[in-house]
Amino acid sequence: MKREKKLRSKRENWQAPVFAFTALFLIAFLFSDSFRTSRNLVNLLVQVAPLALLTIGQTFVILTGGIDLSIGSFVSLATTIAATTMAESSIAISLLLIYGVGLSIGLLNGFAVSYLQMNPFVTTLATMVIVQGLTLHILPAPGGVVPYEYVKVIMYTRMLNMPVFVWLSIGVSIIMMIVLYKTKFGLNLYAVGGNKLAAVLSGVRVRQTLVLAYIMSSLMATTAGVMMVARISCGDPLVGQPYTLDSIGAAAVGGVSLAGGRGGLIGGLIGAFIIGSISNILNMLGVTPYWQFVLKSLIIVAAIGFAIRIKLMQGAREK
Amino acid sequence: MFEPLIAIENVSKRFPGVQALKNVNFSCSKGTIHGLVGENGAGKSTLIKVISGVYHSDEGRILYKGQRVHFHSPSDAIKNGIRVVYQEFGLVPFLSIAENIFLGNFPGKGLFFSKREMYKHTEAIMQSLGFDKSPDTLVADLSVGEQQFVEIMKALVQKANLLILDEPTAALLPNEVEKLFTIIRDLKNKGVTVIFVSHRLPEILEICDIVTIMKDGEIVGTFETSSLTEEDIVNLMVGRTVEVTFPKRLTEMKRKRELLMEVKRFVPASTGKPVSFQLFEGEILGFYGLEGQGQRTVMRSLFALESVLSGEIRLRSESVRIKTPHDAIRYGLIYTPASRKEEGLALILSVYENIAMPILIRQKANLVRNRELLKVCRRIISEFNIKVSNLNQRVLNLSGGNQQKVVIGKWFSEYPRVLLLDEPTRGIDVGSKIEIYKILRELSNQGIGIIVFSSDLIEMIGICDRILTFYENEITGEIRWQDFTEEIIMAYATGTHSNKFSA
Repeated sequence: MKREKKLRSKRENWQAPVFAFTALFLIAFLFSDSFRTSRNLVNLLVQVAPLALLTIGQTFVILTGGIDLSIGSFVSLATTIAATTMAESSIAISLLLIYGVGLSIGLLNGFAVSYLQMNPFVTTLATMVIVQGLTLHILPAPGGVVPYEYVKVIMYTRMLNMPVFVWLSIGVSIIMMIVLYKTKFGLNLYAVGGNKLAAVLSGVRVRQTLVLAYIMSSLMATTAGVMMVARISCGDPLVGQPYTLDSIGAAAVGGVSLAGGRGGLIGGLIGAFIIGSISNILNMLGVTPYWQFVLKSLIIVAAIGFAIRIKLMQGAREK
Repeated sequence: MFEPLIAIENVSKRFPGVQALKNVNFSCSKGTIHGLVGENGAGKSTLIKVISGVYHSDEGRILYKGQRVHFHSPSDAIKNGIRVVYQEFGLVPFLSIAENIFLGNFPGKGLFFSKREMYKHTEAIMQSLGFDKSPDTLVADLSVGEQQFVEIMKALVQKANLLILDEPTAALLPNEVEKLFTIIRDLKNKGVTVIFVSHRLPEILEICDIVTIMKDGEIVGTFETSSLTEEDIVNLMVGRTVEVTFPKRLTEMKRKRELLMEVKRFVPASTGKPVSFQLFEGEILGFYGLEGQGQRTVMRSLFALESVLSGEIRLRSESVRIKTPHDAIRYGLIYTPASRKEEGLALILSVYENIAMPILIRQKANLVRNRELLKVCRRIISEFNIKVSNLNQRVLNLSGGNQQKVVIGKWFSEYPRVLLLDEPTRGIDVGSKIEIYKILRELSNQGIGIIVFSSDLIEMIGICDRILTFYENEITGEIRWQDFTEEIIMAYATGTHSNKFSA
């Protein structure tokens, strides 16, 4: 089992993000009284959870050599559908509707990228705009109603002092890790992103693998939205927007190669924690949300640049 | 006994602008080793891809085990026991050896793969081939030769009735080739049919029972190998008589022996080992080493493609600082890469655009002066004898030999002083190789200094004036052409001998 760990760490390249995360966490922990309160730490988990879910989906897609720009808008869409339908009909029907929409748009992305061989960037940019348009049509401004019983189950019910929301995210993360590390589909993701021609010639079902990756990505985003709506207790047509870049940044910071074929979920999730903690720390410092967008994006870009430099240096040494 | 395992009948295949296969009839008997030869662009690869389900033929039919078949995809063919080891490496870099071997066919029930089974089978097959590596090594960490064996293992791990090897020996060392031949003979005895594609004719004659020769998308003929000589095959391939000869060296008296380039204690960052050597005017200097012994790194570092720790480069006693490839080009130091499709050419651009690119780099003005460019391009095309239908033809559609001539020729809008050639003849046909040899000798006679690395030792012996051997990133020997023998060069290149060449 030791050799398996070694193989995985070489493939994932996760040492740098682990180091960065530990350093970041320690510094915040040592120097900020308010950061190290258990309340804030739980709060941090609550904040990171949706990003973690989105990063999982994004990692799957990036491993295939693609990118999914539409997932942020999925989160917004899910909250607006929930806030407009849950109270009127029933929670179950609303969830069914949300996942139905998520599934079909993921299918659309995957179909366009694999069968029509469209560029993932353009395809998902288009779906992003489509979904954003639909969302603003449903709810032009934050509002709607989220039934208290739903919020109570997801947010206010606690186990070991953590909301169900967090437990659900942990559960989904574990399942997705099993999917990536233990299933044939998981290995095929690496093959499609690492050498597509080799995958085709070896008889890997490349198209199905791609479609499934995009479906996973949109389902993860939908799940994040469904949980998010319980946290903010209303529908918000713009709440998901920052998550697209954040998830790409988290994956890249976590050692997932944007060229595809290299990286993994352990790195990606650590990346999500790094990006999430930055938000949390900026909050603690009292930076306004608008400046947070600016600062966080700068940090993400800098971190990606840094990660690439490290990789270049390692590459030179390995040769 | 001689019922054919597979028979191709009247198959034709057209691509835009090219008739790749014309009415091809080809069949293989069960349990034979069947050679397939032809110049680049003769249609061998297309034929293989039609058999293995990558391409669909426009006309004709394929009979497999006596029945008509239509393979819609490679996985269809694989299911029927047809496995191909492709020329371009069909491996995934960040999967392990075991994962690559089972790619497309992972063991295990349902959604999950069985790691234990995968590693057990891989270890078994690695042992039987005497391949000493851990099965969980990432393919990215293997040498080119080792990767080739992984490809072969990948084909062997599933029951194959027909195994197609497309240039399997191009990246192998002599002892590895022997190992491969043992494996192939073993397979033959087990009743597997093998189609063996190679440019190396001695190998064809050694291993194959039957050989089919292709030319311009057609079958020239199928013969028993015992009835042919190497010359016969070459003549059938090119349709004219060709002699594999190397152009003559100028005699010592006629050659100017002025120092052209001197490299002192030059340390590439990735190896950390210093190298020193001199290059004379009009000399073809060989850098010979087995794969990954530093010869390529030194070339790429001289051209500033890889970072350098320290060292001095003097061109005609002038000390030069080369920090980017652009600097190198300005000093007249040119590098042509081994992977011409990835690094040497912009494949989808035209011949004209590829040749114009370095000219534009050198040109001071920013405006493109078409008339002059055209003139230079025409000159280069005729000087290097590049066969194109017109200047706007995509280099993608040229044969390997002509592509290579573009790779080298495009630098000759002004004459460079030093050429660094990395595998200038890899994967090109015999006729083109001879042409390249001639071109190199002519260039050197004009005073250009050439440093060349080729993994084909015979070729190095034929074209070089002097060879420096590399072993573990250091220069271990210097041999002048009068003393060239395969044994001596190999002894230095494998570190068994050393005349500790150091300045």
